[in-house]
Amino acid sequence: MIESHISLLLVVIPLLAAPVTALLPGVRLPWLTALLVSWVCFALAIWQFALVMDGSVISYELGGWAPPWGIEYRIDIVNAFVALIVAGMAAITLPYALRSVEQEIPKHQIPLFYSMFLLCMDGLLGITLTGDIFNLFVFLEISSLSSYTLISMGRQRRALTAAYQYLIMGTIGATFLLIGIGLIYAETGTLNMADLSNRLPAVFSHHTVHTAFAFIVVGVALKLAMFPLHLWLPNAYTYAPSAITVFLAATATKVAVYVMLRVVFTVFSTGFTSDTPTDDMFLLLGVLGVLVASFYAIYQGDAKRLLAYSSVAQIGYILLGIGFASALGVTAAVVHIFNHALMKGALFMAVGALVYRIGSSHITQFSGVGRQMPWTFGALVLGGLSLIGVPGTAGFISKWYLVLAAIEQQAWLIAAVILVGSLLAVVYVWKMVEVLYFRPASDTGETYREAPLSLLVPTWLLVIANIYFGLNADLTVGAATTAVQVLGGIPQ
Amino acid sequence: MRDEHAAEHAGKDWLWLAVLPLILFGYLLWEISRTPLPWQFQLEWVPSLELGIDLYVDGLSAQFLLLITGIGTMVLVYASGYMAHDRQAGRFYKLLLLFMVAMIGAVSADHMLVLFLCWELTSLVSFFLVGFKYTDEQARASARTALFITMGGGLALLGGLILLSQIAGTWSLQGVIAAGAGLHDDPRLPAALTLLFIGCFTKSAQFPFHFWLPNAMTAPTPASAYLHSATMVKLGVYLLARLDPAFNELLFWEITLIAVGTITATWAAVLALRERDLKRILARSTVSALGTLVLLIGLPGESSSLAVVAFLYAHALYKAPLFFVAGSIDHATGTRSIDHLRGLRRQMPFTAAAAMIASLSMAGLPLSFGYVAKSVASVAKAESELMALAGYGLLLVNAIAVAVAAVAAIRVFWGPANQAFDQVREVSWRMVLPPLLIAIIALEFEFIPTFADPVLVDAARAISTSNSFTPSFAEPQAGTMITVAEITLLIGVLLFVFWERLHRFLERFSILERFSCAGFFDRLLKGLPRLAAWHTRLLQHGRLDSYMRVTLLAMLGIASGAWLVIEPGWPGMPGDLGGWRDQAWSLGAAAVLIMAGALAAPFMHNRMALLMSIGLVGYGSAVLFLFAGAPDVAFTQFMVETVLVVVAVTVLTRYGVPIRYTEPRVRNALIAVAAGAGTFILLLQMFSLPADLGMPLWFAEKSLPEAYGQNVVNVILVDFRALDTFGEIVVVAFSAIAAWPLLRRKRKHGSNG
Repeated sequence: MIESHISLLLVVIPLLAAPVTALLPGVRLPWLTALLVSWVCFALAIWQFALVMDGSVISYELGGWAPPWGIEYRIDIVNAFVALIVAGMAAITLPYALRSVEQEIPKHQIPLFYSMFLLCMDGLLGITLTGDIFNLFVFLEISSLSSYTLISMGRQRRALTAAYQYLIMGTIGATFLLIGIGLIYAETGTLNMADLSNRLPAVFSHHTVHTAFAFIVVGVALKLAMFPLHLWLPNAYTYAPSAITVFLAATATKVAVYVMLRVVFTVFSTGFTSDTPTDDMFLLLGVLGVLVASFYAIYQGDAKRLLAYSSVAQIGYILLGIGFASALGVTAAVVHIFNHALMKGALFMAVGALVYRIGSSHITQFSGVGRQMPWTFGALVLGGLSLIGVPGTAGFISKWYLVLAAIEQQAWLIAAVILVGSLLAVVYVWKMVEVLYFRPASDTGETYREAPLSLLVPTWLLVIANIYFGLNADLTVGAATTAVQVLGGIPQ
Repeated sequence: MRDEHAAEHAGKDWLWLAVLPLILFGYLLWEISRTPLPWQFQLEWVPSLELGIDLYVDGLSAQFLLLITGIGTMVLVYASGYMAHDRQAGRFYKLLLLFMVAMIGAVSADHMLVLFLCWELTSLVSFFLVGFKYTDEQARASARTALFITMGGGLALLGGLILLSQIAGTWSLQGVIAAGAGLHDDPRLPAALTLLFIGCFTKSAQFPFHFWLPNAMTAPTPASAYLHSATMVKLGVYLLARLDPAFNELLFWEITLIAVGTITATWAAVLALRERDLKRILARSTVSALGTLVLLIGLPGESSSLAVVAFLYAHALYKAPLFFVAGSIDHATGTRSIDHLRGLRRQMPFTAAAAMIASLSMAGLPLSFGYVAKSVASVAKAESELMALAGYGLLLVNAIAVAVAAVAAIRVFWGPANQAFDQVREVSWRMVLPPLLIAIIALEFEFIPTFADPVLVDAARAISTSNSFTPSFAEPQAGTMITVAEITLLIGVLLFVFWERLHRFLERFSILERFSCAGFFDRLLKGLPRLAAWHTRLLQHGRLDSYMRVTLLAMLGIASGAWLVIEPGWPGMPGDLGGWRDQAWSLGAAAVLIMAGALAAPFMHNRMALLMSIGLVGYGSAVLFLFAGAPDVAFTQFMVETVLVVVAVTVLTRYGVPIRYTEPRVRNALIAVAAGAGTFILLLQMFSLPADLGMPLWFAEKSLPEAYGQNVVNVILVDFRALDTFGEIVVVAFSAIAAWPLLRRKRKHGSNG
C-alpha cells in the first residue's frame, strides 16, 4: 500500500507538515516535527531507491489521469538517487540545526524557519520526482521561495540584501524556464517529459525548439549557479544561517544539475545537442568556472564565502562531465553530485560549528582555534582533503572519473584544468588550515570550547561518509552507471 | 628546546619507539637472506576502479626499505635526545611514524595509484614537519613553499601516471616496465613523461624546483636528516630509477635527465658556497647529490645502474650523520653559523669523530664507501662518450663536495677554540650513537663488501635494462680515474682553503637572489591574490543591476547562438491572423498605449514616473487581451498592474528610497531593445507553425463526462492538474507568511539605520 504511493508521500508529507510546523509553539516542538518528517522522508527515499536500483521505472499517475494529460510522477534510478541525497541531507542537517538555529535566529521566527525548511525540502523533492515539466516549475517556485525566506533569516542585515539579490536573479531564471516550457508546449502540445522526448525529435529542426532549449538551459543554469550566472550564490551562502548554507549547498544546486541532466539528455537527447554548440558551451563555461571561481575562493577572507566560491568551481566540474556527453562523463557528473553534497555538507557544518563558538566566519578570527576545537578542525581538514580530491576520499572518486572521461575524449587541456583546479583547492583549503592550526591564538586570550555534540555528530557522520564512499565506491559508481543508461540519449 | 618552560615540562621518554623500525629492519635483513627477491603481495580495494593494494619488492625497493627502517631507527634514537625537552615531542614522533609508513608504502607499491597516495602522504607529513615550529613566521612560509611545490608536483605526477597507465593499459609499474620499448612510439608518451618529470623533479628538488629544500631546513634536525636528506627527497630518484629500464633508450628521457641532473648538481654546489648556516650548506649539497643521481640515471649503459645504487647508499650513509652532527652542534652551542663554530673537538670528541668518518666518505677518499661509489660512478661516465662535458661539470661538483666535507669535519672541529663555547659539553649518548654508528657502518662496507654486495647488486639489477646483467664491485681500474680523483681532491682542498674569499666573491652577486626561482615563486604567490582581487572587483561587485545585465546578455547571446546554429532564416508573416481587421481600432489603441509606455520609460528620471510608464505597458496588454477574446485574463492583468504600482509606490515612500533614478540609461535601453526584438522574432516564428491542439481538445472532450465539470479551465485547474494549482497556492500563501516577519524585522532595524 505504502510502496505504491512512496513518491507521492515524499511530496505530500512535508507539504502538509509545513503549515502545521509554522503554527507550533516554542522551539523544540517545531524542530521535532521537522526532524520526524525528514527522517520519515529519508526512510521513504531509501525504500524508493531500493525499488528502482535495478534500472526499472515506476510511473505514478496523479488523480488517476493518464499521462500526458494528467501529471505523472516517474521514478527511475536517477531521480531516486537525487531524492535520496535531498532527503538524506535534510535528515542529517536538522539534528545539526537545533543548536545552531537557536543561536542565530530570533526565537519567534524559529517555527517559521522549520516550516520553510520543510517546504524547501518538499520543493526540491518535488522537482526531482515529477515527470511533468510544468509541475517541475511549480516545485521550483516552492523551493526557491522558501530558500529566499530562509536566507533572509541570517543574523546579519546583509542577509536581506543577499536574499533579495537571489530573489531577483532566481525569478529571472524561473521566468526563462517558464518561457522555455511554454515554447516547447506550443511546439509539441505536451508537458510530460517522457512524452516530450518522443515528440520533440520531429520538430528538432524548428527555430522555436532551439530557442526554447536556450531559455530552459539559461533558466536552469541560473539556478545551478553556472559561471557566469553564479553571481547570486556567494552572498546567499555567506549570509544564510549556517544550517541553511549546509542544506542549500548540498542539495539546491544539485537538484538544478539534475534538472539540467534531464533536460539535456532525457528530454532533448544528444541527437539534438550534438547539432548545437551545447557541449562546447558546457565545457568552456565549466573550465572557466573551475579556474575563475577557484581563484576567487583563494582571495576570500570569509570561510563561508570561500566555500561558496568553491561550490561554483565544483559545479564547473559537474558541467564538464555533462559537456563530455559520454557515458563516462555523465557518470562522473552524477557521482560528483553525490560526493560534492557529502564534502560541502561536511565543510559547511564544520565552519558552522566554528561560527557557533566564535560568532564570525571571518578567517582572521580563526587564529589558533584549530587546537582548541580539534574535532571541528579535523572535520574541516578531512572535508578539505575530499574537496581537493585526495585518494581515499569521496572527492577522489569523482575527480578520477572526470579525468578518465577527459582522457577518453583526448581532452588533455581539460584534464589539466581538472588537476590545476585541485591545486587551487589545495591553496584555499590550506588557507583555512594554516590560520586555524598554525597561527597563534589571538591576543585577547579568549579560548573556545569544542563545539557541542549535536553539531559534531552530524558533521562527523558526513566526514565518515566522505571516507567511506572514497574507499567503497561501488554504491555511488554503480548507481551512476545505471543512471546513465536510464537517462537515455547518451551514446554508450 | 631552549624554551624556559621546557625543563619543567620535559616530555615522556619516547626512546622505546625506536624498537619498532629496528624490528622491521632486522626482519627485512633476515627475510632477504632467506627468500629470494622479488616479493609480491596483492589486496583488492575498489575493484570497480581496478584499484588494488599491489606490492612488489625487488632489489631497489629492498634497498630503500633497509634505508627507511635502518636510518629511521637511528633518527628515533637521536630524536629522543634532541627533543627531550620539547613539549611537542609526542606530535613529532607521530608524524615521523606516519611518514615511515607512507615511505614504506611508496617504495613497495606496484600499483601506481598506491604509489601516488603514499607519495602525497609523505609531502603532507613533510609539510607539518617543516612547519613544526609554527609560531615562527619563517617556518610557516617554508612549509607553505614546500607544500605547494611538492603537492603541485604530485598532481603533475598523478596526471603523468594516469596517462602512462592509459598508454600501457595497466596500473602496474612492473607492467609498464615489461611493456618497455613497446610504448616508445605512442604520441602521448612525451606528455606523460613531462608530467612525470615534473612530479619527480619537484620531489627530489631538481632545478628549477630546487629552492624548497634549503628553506625546509626549518624542520627539527632529526626530520631534516630523515626526510630531507636520506629518504623522502630520494623518492623522485626512486621512481625515475624504477622506470629507467623502460625508457632508458629514449632520447627525450636521456637528455632531460642528464641536462636537469647536471644543472642541478652544479648550480646547487655553487650555491652551497654562499651559505653560512651549516645545515643549509648540507641541504645545498644534498640537492647537488640528488642532481648527480638524476644524471647517473639518465646515463646509458649498465654500470650506471650500479653507480646509482652505490651512490644512493653512500649519500644516505654520510649525509644523515652529518645532519645529526649539525643538529648536535646546534643543540650544544645554540648556533649553526660557521662564522662562530671552530675548535669544538675538545668539547665534543665523539661528535667530531662521527663528522670525520662521514666526511671521509663524502669526500670520496679511499677507505670509505664513498670512494667505492665514486669509482663506480666514474666507470659509468667513462662508458658513455657524450659525457665529457657533464664529467667536467661533475668534477667541480665533487670538488665542492670535498670542500663541504672539510668544512663540516675540519673547520668546525679544529682550529683555535672559540671562548664563547667553553661551557659547551658533549651531547647525550642518544645523539652521539646514531651518527657514529651509521658512519662506521658505511666505513665497514668497504672492508667487508660481502655484506653490502648482494643487496646492492640486486638493486642494480632491478633498474638495469638487460636481464643478463651481473654487476659487481670490481676494484676500479688504476689509471685515468685515479688521476681524476686526485684532481678533484686537489681542487676541493683549494676551495676549502679559499672558502672565505669565494664566499665574499659570491656574496656580491645579490642579483642571484632576485632572479632565483624562490623569488619568482614568492612573487607568484603574492600576485595571485591581487589578480583574484582585480577579477572580483570586475565581476563580483555586488550590484544587482549589473548582475541582471549580465544575465540578460547571456540569455540573448545564447538564444541568438541557438538561432544561428541551424541555418538562420527569417520567419514569414503568420498566415492567418484571425479577423484582426475587425478590431483594428481597439488593437491599435492597445498598441499605442504599450508603445507610449515603453518609449517613455528610458526618459524618466523619477522612479514614480518610471513605474507609471511601465504600468502603461501592462494596461496596454490588458486592453489587448480584452479584445482578443480573453476578458478574464484582461481583468486579472488590470488588477495585477494596479496592485503592483500601488504596492511599489507605498514601499518606495515608506522606506525612503531615493526618488531620483540614476541608472546607465542608454546601455539599459539598448539591452531592452535587443531583448524585445528577440522576443518579437521568436513569436513570429512560433505563429508560423501550426499549434498542436491534441491536449486542449482532449481536455474539452473529457471535462464533462469524466471530471463532471462544465468550465474546462476550472476542471484543468482543480482536477487534471490539481497538484500544480495546489503548489501555486502554497507559494502565494507562504509568501505572505514569510514576508510578515521580514517586514516587522525591517521596521525594527529601519529606525536605527
